[in-house]
Amino acid sequence: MANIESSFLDVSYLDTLSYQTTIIHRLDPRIKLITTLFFIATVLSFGKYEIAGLIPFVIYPVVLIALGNLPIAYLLKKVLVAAPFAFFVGIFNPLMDRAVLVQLGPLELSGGWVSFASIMIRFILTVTAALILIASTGFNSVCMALEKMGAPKSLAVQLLLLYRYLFVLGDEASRLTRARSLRTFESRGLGFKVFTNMIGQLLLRTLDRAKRVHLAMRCRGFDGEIRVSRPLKIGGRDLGFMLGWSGLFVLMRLYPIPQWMGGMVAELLK
Amino acid sequence: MDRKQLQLVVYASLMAALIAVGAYLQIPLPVGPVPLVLQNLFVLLAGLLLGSRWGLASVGIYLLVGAIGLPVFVGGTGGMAHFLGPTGGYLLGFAACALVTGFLAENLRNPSARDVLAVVLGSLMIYLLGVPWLKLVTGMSWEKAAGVGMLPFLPGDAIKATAAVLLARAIRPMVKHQLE
Repeated sequence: MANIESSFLDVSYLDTLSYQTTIIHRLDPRIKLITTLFFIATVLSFGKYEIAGLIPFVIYPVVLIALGNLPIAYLLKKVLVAAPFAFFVGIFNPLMDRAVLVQLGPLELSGGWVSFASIMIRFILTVTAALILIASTGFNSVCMALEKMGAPKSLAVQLLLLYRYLFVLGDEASRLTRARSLRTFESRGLGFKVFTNMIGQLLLRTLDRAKRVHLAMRCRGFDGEIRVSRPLKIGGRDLGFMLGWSGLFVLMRLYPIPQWMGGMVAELLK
Repeated sequence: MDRKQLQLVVYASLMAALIAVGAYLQIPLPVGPVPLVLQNLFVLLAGLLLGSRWGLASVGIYLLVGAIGLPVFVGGTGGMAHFLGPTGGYLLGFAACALVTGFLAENLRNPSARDVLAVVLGSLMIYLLGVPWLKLVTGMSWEKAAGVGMLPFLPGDAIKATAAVLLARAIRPMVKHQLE
């Protein structure tokens, strides 16, 4: 069983990374959200056998990680944790598509292997971009950006509340689990009844908390509007970031940059 | 946002958080190798207690945060790849389960049969989407997909469905009172 404490601790670490004040962190959340979505859409728009065209897109996460002072090892670890699922999505391709597509000297690569590699590259690029967005923006600001961009208020509020409750209930559940395991000498306390009591406890505590949270929000005059101390404002730097990157993504999508670079290197070697 | 809507938003978010926490809580069963994972129980409860609309909102928001990468799925993982992998159908089945359970719990007239029918059909929705998806992604035969992706979980599901009905009956008056 996955450890609830370490998993949520991991998420909160990702959120604490967003408190830095680098040039990337200071950008407007809406701009980062739009640029990330555009990046993901562009990466996913490639054909299923495309590999070379995807390589230049590595520049986006690399630049953002460097400028945003984000820990690359941590982000890679997070990507690796989710990688088995992408692996399962693509691993059947080599079995279904056996036609040889690429000849590398004596090595023949079938279309299935090429499409599998393409899926894995896309997965790494898109997941890394999403992680960078959270690590440089924070979950609260992403929710706020969603609301300002026209997402329903109740959705944004629900996302914010869920993010908060995940930690609260995670704590509650891990306290219950820890208390039970501390009392399970000689396999006692592993009975079904103990677990049903635990679930009942968790449910009652949750409902009690729901009541208290609601009353606290009403007392503070919450009306569904998410307010922040620093108002959101899109400046020239933000627009430059979005237009610059979007332009580059379009360029990399439309023109075979790796082929050009390969041609230039070949020319130089001649 | 009026008072009642805010209260429902709070409940839906808490239910979603419970579904997420349920992914971490496993109960070993005296029979069979498959432990009970409590996610389905909370999905059923979301439908029974909040109704079709808010139950669906609760599961939808849970799936959304899972899709963007928060570790809320079984095994403490998250990400869009889950929806495309072998378990993607079960995840979408959760949404269908909350919707159907909530709809039946709201609309059936017979109070004694209402919750039972709602959880049975709701639980069925998970497999109705999960098993064909598993077959499609892995290329298994129907028999094998049902054998791997449904049959071992049925005893656990029966326990969870019973627990959901009993818990809903005990808690519903409290929730209704708070929502009034």
